[in-house]
Amino acid sequence: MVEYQLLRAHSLDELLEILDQRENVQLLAGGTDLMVDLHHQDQKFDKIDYLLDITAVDELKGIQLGDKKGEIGALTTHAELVSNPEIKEKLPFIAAAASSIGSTQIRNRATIGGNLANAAACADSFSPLIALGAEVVLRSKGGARRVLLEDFVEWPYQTIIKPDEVLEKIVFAMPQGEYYSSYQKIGRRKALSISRISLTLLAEVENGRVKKAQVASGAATPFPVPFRKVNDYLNGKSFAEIDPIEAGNIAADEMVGITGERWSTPYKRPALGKLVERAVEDLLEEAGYNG
Amino acid sequence: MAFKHVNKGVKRVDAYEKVTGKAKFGADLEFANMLYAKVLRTEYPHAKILKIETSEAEKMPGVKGVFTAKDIPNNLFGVIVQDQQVLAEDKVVLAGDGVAMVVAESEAEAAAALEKIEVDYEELEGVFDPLEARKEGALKLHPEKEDNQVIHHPLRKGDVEKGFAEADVVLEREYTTQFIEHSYLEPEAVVVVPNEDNHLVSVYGSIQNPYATRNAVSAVLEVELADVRVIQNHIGGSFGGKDEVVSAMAARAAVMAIATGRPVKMVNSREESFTESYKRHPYHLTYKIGATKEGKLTAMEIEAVADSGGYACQTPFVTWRSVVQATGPYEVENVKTDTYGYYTNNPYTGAMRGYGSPQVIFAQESLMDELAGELGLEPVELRKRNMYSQGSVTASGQKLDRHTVSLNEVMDKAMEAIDYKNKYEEYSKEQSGDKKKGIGLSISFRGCSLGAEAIDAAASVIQINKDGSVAVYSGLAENGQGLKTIFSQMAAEVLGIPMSEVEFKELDTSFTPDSGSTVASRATLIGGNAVKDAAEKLKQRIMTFAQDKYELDAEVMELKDGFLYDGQGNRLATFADLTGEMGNTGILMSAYGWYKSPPISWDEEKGCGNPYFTYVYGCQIAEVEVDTGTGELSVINMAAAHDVGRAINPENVKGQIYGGVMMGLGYGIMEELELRDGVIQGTNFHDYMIPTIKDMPDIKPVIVENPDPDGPFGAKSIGEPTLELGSAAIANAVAHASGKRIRSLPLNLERVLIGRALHKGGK
Repeated sequence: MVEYQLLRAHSLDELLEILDQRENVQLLAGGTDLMVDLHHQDQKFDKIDYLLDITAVDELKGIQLGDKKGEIGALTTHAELVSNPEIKEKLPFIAAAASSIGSTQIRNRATIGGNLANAAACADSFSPLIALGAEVVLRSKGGARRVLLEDFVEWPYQTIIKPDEVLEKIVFAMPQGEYYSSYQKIGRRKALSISRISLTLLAEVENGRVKKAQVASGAATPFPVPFRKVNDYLNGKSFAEIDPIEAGNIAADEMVGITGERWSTPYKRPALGKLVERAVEDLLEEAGYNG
Repeated sequence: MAFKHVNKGVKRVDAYEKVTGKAKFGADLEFANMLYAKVLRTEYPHAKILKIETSEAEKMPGVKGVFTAKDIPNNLFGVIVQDQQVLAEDKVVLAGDGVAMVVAESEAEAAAALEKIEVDYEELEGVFDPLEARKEGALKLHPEKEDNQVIHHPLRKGDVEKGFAEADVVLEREYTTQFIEHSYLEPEAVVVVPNEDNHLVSVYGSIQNPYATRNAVSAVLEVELADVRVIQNHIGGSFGGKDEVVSAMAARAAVMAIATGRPVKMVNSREESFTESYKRHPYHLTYKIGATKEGKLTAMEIEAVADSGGYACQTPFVTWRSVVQATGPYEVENVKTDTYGYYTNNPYTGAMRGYGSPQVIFAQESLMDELAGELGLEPVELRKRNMYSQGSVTASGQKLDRHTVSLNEVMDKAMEAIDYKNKYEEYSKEQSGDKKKGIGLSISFRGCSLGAEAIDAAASVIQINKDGSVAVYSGLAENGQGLKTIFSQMAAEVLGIPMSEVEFKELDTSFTPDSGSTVASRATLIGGNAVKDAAEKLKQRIMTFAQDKYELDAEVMELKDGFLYDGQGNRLATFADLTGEMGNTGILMSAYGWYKSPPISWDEEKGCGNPYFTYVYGCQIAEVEVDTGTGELSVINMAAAHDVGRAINPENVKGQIYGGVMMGLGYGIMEELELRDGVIQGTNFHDYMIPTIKDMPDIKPVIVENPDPDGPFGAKSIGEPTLELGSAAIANAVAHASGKRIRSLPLNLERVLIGRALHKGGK
């Protein structure tokens, strides 16, 4: 049996104080992963002395999108991301990713910070945020540090969060000028489905040319990474120079370069290539390019 | 004939208590002084048990007893073959076999004590593929048997060599199907109470077949049937699944209840349920079919190999239904079919809605489309040239002339409901883009009820109380399919009373006569006839009494809406006054109803005879969209036309169709119990995929009615036919859309995109 004491923090100060004073503390946010693992008596909890419920910490909530900068509090639920009008208008790929997660019940409880901190390979929140070039703010009693999200995960289910830190919020620069995005996901069913592959493409364009493209994937690699070779392929190209199929092939090769040939590669190689191809086609279409 | 209650979509009689949460399920039951028990299950698929050390567990707080196989009076049970162990004695044969059990004051104490039991095993090599298990010299899993074969059913008709020689086209194809879980919402639960009301044990719980459970418990305890009472509670789904696994649970709880003298409750978690329960049989199917260039079938040669897992369970009967239906509903002069079941160290397999038909229908209806393609015929045309019509003779030599053979009607109505012809034409054209649509169909005939498996008879009891209220009892069980409502409608119809006067009572084996198991889509047909029989006996008694009392001919009087009428529209008496008066004059106001099916025959050596006394016919059509870039598959629309003889409750029939289509869709496109060397990978619903509401297509149910001369009010079966057709229809639609034929279930992402499945850490 996993034995622990249940604590509850009511403010960020109290939360940081507890993390500073005590050891072997496991944070509880939405609980949609944690409670399942606890039910299974997962061995990772063998060293847990405290379960700290942070759901009442208001400082960790809220969405603020400015002209230049945006931030999303770690306790923001996927349901809030789906229904927030500003997210829907300015960052629709984040809303699309959030709406593809779990079920209504899960989206109402599960938080974006929890999705990141749990760091499953298939987590759907990474690819849109990596495409944005987002950073996470990790706060402890001693202060805060900012880390690029793509450097946040060391290995599946393992992040660089220190025992006295909490993931406070996600911060990012708002895309500028003319920009387009696409979110794609393959699952085994239409709801309550763990991603086989998810993908975000975000591109700033200027005068019929890609100025800055960011392609990132979930579940294709052990932990989420940007596909730099695809970005390089797209960056600076005019729409006429872009071949969506080639972009797909580059991405598929890049994925296999990272993962090596695995049991799932015969499926994931063509499927990822196809998603990238479609995302690029979406971009060209939305940008009004018609061959 | 106009009906008052039958053939109407009346409200379910058990709806209120279920939607208000008042209904008590097995896990809700509480008895004074009750204990709780848990079972220790092995992780090894095949191992010798060297030693079980229980002394530490016995000392744990709250523990009232620790039991092993040596504490079980008779450790072997089974409905057909008695080879299933209540608790493994010398050897475990599947990962999930129980080896010891603990009864304690609380569930947590029982669980804690389980961890203190030490079992020493010697791991044995295992056999995990029935094709390996059948090989000469294969490791024998049950030493007392000659080999690993559970059963072989042959069927021979004509001369297949001659038939293939006459063919212009001969196709040989292999198909495979997978293990699946029943996925009933409510995991297994029982409570056994000792020494209650002059019974040694009373068994309450989530029990599909109270008489089969009573047989098992009495055999295990080595006591008389009369000592064991089984009372069925509300059941949260079963689909064939709460038979042997619940019987084992009841037998275990009974041993502990007798030993402690206290009620014992056992409730499985979802993980325990996945680990221990039996599954649907995976099949390996080899089909060879010959046809002339005009599309007339000349011969079929079929071999179906079923994985029985560690125990025989229902394999002998499941594979028997397969042998009868393996050719599908087609006239073929020359047939050679062999169905087999083999022991392996996989989870054991048993009854599941469909019972040996979904596997052969997937193969044979896929094959018909493949053959149509070879012959350059449309799928519908090839079927129409060969399918059964009135007076056709089946593969086993049965002439279909006792009922209406309605394949043509169900097929045409299903096609009309989904606009098949236009869609077929449209989707047969070149489609641009990755997303391709297709439409596919499948048809079947299905034997109703048990057939030659066992004696096919059922009983009912109807009591008319002195206030005119009516209690109906049946020997068959409500498993969620709507039996209580159907039987109440029939009783109300015959007795001419409102539905509100009918009370359907829970099944109690000490009161209602043994009616066999509630399986094989037999309840409405066989049990319905028994209810009708009891009601008609009482009606006759009432009319005889009324004839004397009112000096009117019984033929002219009528029982309607709770009144006796004189035939001229005048009320003579209320039902309550009349029957109350009868009771007060000493007339027996209760009656037993009994129905035994018409004669059937089966020659097991040759595989011929009249295996079922009637059949139902169905057609399902699936319209799909296949994403040829990612392997994603959406089933957009489905039409399901089923001849039910007569729909006693059309709304309930639709419910069966919606549920069966959805279960068939899960079987067809996503469900698969993943095993690694006999061990289940993922024992809950986050690993095991079943369809969600968002995966549900628009379903068009079509009820076809050709009253059967042997059915109550003409009714036949609907429960299982609804599930058996979907996977083949979907596979045919996918092939139509993508041009790719997939011969293995399920049609998951990998199979649709790259044509084969991939397994974690696998090949």
